[in-house]
Amino acid sequence: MRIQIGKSRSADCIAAAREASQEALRGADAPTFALVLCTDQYDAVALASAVRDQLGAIPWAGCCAAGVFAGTELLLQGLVIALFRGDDFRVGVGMGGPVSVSPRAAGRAAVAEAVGRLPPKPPGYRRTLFVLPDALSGNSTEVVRGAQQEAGAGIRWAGGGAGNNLRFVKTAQFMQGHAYEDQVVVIAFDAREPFGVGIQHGWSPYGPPSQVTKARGSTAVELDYERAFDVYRHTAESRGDALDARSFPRFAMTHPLGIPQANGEFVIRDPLSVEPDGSVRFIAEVPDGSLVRVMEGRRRDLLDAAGSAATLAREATSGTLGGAVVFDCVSRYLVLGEGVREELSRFQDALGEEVPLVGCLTLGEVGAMGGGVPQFHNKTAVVVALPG
Amino acid sequence: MADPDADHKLTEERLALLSVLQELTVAALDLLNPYKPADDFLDRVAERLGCAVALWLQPDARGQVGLLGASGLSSASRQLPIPALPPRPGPPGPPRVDLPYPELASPGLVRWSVPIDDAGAPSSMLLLYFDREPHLPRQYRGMVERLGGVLHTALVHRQLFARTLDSERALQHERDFSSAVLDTARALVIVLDPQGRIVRFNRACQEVTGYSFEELRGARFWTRLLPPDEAARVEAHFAVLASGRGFEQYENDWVTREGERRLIAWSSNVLRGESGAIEYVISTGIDITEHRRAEQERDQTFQREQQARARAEQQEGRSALLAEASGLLTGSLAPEDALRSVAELTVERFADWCAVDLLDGGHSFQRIAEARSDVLRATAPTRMYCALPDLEAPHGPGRVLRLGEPEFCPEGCASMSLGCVRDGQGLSEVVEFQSWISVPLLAREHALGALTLARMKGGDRYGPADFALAQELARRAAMALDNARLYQQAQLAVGLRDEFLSIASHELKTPVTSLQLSVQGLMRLARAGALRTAPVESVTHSLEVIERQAKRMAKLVNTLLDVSRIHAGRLELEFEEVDLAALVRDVAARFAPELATSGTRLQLHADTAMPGVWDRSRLDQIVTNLLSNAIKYGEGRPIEVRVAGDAVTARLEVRDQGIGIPAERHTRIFRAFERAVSSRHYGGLGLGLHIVNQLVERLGGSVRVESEAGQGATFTVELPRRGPHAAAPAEPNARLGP
Repeated sequence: MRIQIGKSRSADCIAAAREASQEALRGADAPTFALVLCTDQYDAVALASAVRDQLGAIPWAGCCAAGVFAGTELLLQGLVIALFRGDDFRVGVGMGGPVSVSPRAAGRAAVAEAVGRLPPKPPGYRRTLFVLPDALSGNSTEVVRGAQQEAGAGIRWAGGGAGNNLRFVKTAQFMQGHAYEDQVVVIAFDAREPFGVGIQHGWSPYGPPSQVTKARGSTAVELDYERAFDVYRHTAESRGDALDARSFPRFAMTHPLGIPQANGEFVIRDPLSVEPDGSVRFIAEVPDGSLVRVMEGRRRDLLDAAGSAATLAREATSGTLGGAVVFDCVSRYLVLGEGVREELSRFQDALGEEVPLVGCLTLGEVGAMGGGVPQFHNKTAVVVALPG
Repeated sequence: MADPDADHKLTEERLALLSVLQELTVAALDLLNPYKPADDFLDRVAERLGCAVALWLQPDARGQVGLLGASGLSSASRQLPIPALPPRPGPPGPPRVDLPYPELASPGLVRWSVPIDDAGAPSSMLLLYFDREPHLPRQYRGMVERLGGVLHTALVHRQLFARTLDSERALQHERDFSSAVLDTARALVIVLDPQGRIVRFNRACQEVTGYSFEELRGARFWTRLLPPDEAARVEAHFAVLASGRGFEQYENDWVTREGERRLIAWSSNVLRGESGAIEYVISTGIDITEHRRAEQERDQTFQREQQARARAEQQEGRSALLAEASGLLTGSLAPEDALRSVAELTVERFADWCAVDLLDGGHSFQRIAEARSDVLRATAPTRMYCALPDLEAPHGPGRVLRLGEPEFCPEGCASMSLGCVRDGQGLSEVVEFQSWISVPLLAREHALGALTLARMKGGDRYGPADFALAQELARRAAMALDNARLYQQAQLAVGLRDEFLSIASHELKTPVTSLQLSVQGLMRLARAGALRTAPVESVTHSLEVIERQAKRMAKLVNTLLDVSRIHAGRLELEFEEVDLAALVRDVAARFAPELATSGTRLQLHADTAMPGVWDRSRLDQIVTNLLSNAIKYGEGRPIEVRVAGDAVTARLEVRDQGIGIPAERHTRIFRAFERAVSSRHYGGLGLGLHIVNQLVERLGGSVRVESEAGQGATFTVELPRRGPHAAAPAEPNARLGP
């Protein structure tokens, strides 16, 4: 398996599609599949049409994101296309939705369709699923659970929430040459060698544990029987940080919530806003009864985590790599700023200089941290190392 | 000295342990709700512990293992059947089965098996599979086992709750089924408590009444559904029924919301509780309103058909009766005999009693027939007698004979009017009839008699059709009777005519013979040449005889011509002022020779002039005829002629003292060809009085006779002095027959 990447910074759909496609297709023989990632400035329908024109019969799928990158080059406006070629893998694509109505059913339907489109799995082949839900429309945690219920165990999971540059208006999912909203796209790979997946975030506890005493989906209403925001504020104050509702978004950006895992890891929940009743809304579900921690992330830890994720991925597959796909949380870019380029370098360095790398800045990430069933994460980097 | 990093790590591990336990324990609370899938909980377990697969297996009482929940199993795997649990000796324990899931085939999987204790039953099992040996603090094994305890409690509650829900569902299903049965039934089903309050009211009840169950729930049914006039009776009936006694089948009316009455046939039963007390009264009803209505209509139709058939049969009977009666009536010239046969026929077919009474011209009548049915005769084995009608009676055949009007008593009239009595126990009693009809025998607007029919009690009463039949029967009988009488009269008239011809021939032949003798005598003298020599007296005598006989013949012929003119209506009168007294005196003078011949003395009282407007010659003819008759039948005794009158009427009276006229012949003497005495003893055509009568009528007057046999006769003529048009036409003193 080998991927070949093309990119374009053009704001024009047709030009962007043409430039990226031509670059990716250059010298490529018999591509099997194309992963298409774009930023949110494009008219999704027009772009899908243009890419369809360029790629012809090549199956493709993807999503819209806050930023895309090829190698270490970050494009805050642009399009990247990764052509997958080789005879050591099969691809199937499926879609389910609307996720705003029944996220779990959407996840199941997308997996069922994607797996259903795969030819019979040859013996020894390992399956990997990329899950790309519309993170602005519904409960992505439930989407992932639905996907897991349909697919079962023994599968490598990766993916990220389609999003935009935190304007949170709308996002797009692409499948079979068309653009959609409020859907989840699943790309299923059966490959002779396993995909390596590494998932790390670099966040560590900042405050004392607080019990979630009242939660409603992705909103923590009460922590320790107090309004969630008050607990956030006390925690900040105990560390000498003043906090009010206005300054909360900035503080929250660097202080997400961590849900402890048995293996000592934390699943990160990214706060979005303080509601009028003092509750705090997160990007994904906050489990009732758990002892959560307010987390912090130092720049060095985040960068180290990026490297660790890439290393884990690299180590999880054997032989040379045919490429890598990275789903990196957009909020890490917001935290790191221009330092995100260093994060991309960490990915590239850990994977190897020659490994073609493609990725996007996502709104939530999908992966099984430390193994087991997949979960929906925030502020996390998911690196998929493709066997060569 | 303590290692701060180690302490920190330990603290974080404890916190994580606590957090996971806390979260999973809270998540386990959802398991209490059997509607929530265990998958959600196992997802949480797998997520927090990092499992690849988490399974919760639950064996049932038969050893069949089921998948209560799973995480990390594909939908395809979930469809795979789990092999039955092999029998295993010893106490119940965790199931040990070979699971068929491909997810569990990955090499290196590490399984944690946590039994979830369930005393007395095969234990369920929580199975956690890790990709490799999990890097978890050792306390997590204990935590998972503790979690097993929580799951056990949750499972007990879940099962209990599930059984409760199953019971409720079963109960609800039973209720729904019962309701569906009740509602599907076309019959009305109402369930009442012992106080009569409505507990159930099925759909058929709602459709019939227009009330919903909610409108009537708890209401005593007789206050809402029964017509007010039946409520008290039904309430009392229900009290008996609700006490375990009373009728189980009954009918009553329900009143719908629209006020319509529906007749319901009920069958009721009581439902007793465990203590034996009556808890409910269940009534099942059928709306039989239409059915009953149809039955009634069918009965009515049947009755109508029966009645129509009976009417047809009766009509047929009547027609047959009429036909037979007509045959009897027309087949005989003896109407009385025919009427007797008709009476017999009538009691045979149409009546129990029948009587025919015939008027005989005056105010008398004769009962010519009375017939009785066998049934009537059987009621009076000893003796039964029916009196003749009383012409003065207010009802019955007497009244019919008197007035000529029919009388019909359909039912309940006094039978006394019919006059039949029979010997009772020591006393005579009136024979009671159910209904009777008495109709006149009318012919040419004249009542000839009466036909009376009666039916006994217990039989059919007479109806209008019977009345019509009786009238028709009477009409035919009257016609036959009339025809017979006309025939008799015609026969009589023919006889009279023959007699008249004989008399007329004789009367004409007498002068002709006398004429012939005189003429033949003169002819003989002429042939012998002796006419010139014959004595003058002899020839003159012969010529006088010829003249007298010629006058006599002329008079006879004129009389016949007068009668002919009168009957043909061609008699023309010439009115002028005439003095009746002077005319009488002239006629008397003219009769002087005859009076002298017969030796009769004439007393004439005509001194006072009595002028009037009359036809002189016809008035002369009247006086001549009357005086001629008086001389003819006066036996030589004195005759008295009187002229009198007032300003309006002139009266002529001619009295003789001769042979007189019997009373029964008074009406006949004015008819043509009638005479009171034999023509052998008294000559003449017998047309004199007839001509007098006709002429007097034409002059607007009247003539009557007063006489007895052997006592002479007085003829009185009254004439209006101003002519026939000055006064109303006088009633003739007798009719000339029908």
